[in-house]
Amino acid sequence: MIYEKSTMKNIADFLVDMSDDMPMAVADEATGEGLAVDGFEISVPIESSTDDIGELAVSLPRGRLATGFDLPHGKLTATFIRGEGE
Amino acid sequence: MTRATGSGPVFSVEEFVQSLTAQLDKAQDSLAIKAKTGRPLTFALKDLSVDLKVFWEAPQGQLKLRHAAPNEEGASTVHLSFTTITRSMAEENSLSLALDEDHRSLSEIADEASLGEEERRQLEMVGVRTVGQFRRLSESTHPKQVEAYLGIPVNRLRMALERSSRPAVIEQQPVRGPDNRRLMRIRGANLMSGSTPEVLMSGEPVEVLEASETELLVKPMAHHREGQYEVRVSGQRATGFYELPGEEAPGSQADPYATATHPYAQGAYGQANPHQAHQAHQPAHQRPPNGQPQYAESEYLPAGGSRW
Repeated sequence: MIYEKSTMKNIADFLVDMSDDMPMAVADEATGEGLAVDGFEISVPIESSTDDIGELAVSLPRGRLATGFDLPHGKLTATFIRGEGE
Repeated sequence: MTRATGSGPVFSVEEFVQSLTAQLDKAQDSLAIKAKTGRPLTFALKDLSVDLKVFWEAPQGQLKLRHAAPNEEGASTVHLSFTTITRSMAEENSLSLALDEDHRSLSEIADEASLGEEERRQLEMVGVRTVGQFRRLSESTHPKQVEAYLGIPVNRLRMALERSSRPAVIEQQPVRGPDNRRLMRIRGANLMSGSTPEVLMSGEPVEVLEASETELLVKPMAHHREGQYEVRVSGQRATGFYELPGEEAPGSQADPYATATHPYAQGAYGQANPHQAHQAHQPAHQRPPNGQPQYAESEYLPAGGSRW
């Protein structure tokens, strides 16, 4: 859950966490009807930096109040589509 | 990546994009692994765009990026977009790495009189990194064009082209022939020009069984153990040093050659010490300090097909 851990993390982990937050489908057991998610796009402001091995690390903005020590915010937009599992 | 004093690390766009691509591959792999844990469906990353707040810096004339630090105003925004492509699309948009092309780096044929560090950097900026690419450039452009666009004088280009066409040996290794005869394979560049080259081992001519521009297969005499060999191509020569194990009973533990499944199986000798295998066998005192093989000096021979 990326919103709870507002620490810098590798962008690969960040993207996987984002997809974890999205349910594949929701259904009403009483009626048997449901909706499946075909894909989604998410756009979030980010703080970014480069770690010691040159990989991109990002986080959601971490400061609730502007303190003057916040990193300027960039933006990340990711589009996920549904893929077949096993 | 380098670290600038008093600020975050700086990085080139190229290495940053390569690193980011590897990270995106890792993300795709992680998503795919989730599907293997029993989930019938999973999400896959289709497109990604990132806006980064950065500052541009130019240490040593190379444009590099640095992430904006807290309280820094006036940062630029770099917008990067990625989308998924198939393997065939990637191959269509990649350089062809033909096996028969000369893959030596430009530094191996360059010196301050031909291509200095600045000239090599200029060529690398237009995607010319290997000797093979340099020769292809010479076949499709006029040197005046290259001089006009990259600022490299024509005489330097011609000198580099001349050096690129000289025969050079890169490595040699003992191999076992189909009749269990010990042979030696020589790899290099410009090892043939029309006719079969002449090869001498310790000053004695030996039979050349196969020859191509990049590889020779020769048959040493029974008494050849170690010494210098020489490849003569159209009046030019390249030299290296060989060291061949003695004859052993095939299949014995002491047999330094691999069991032949291919007509000319690679000898274990050549694999035992990869560092050594990539050097022409030269006595230590004759090797250059950087461990690179020493290429032969030879006379000028224009490269075939060049317009320079």
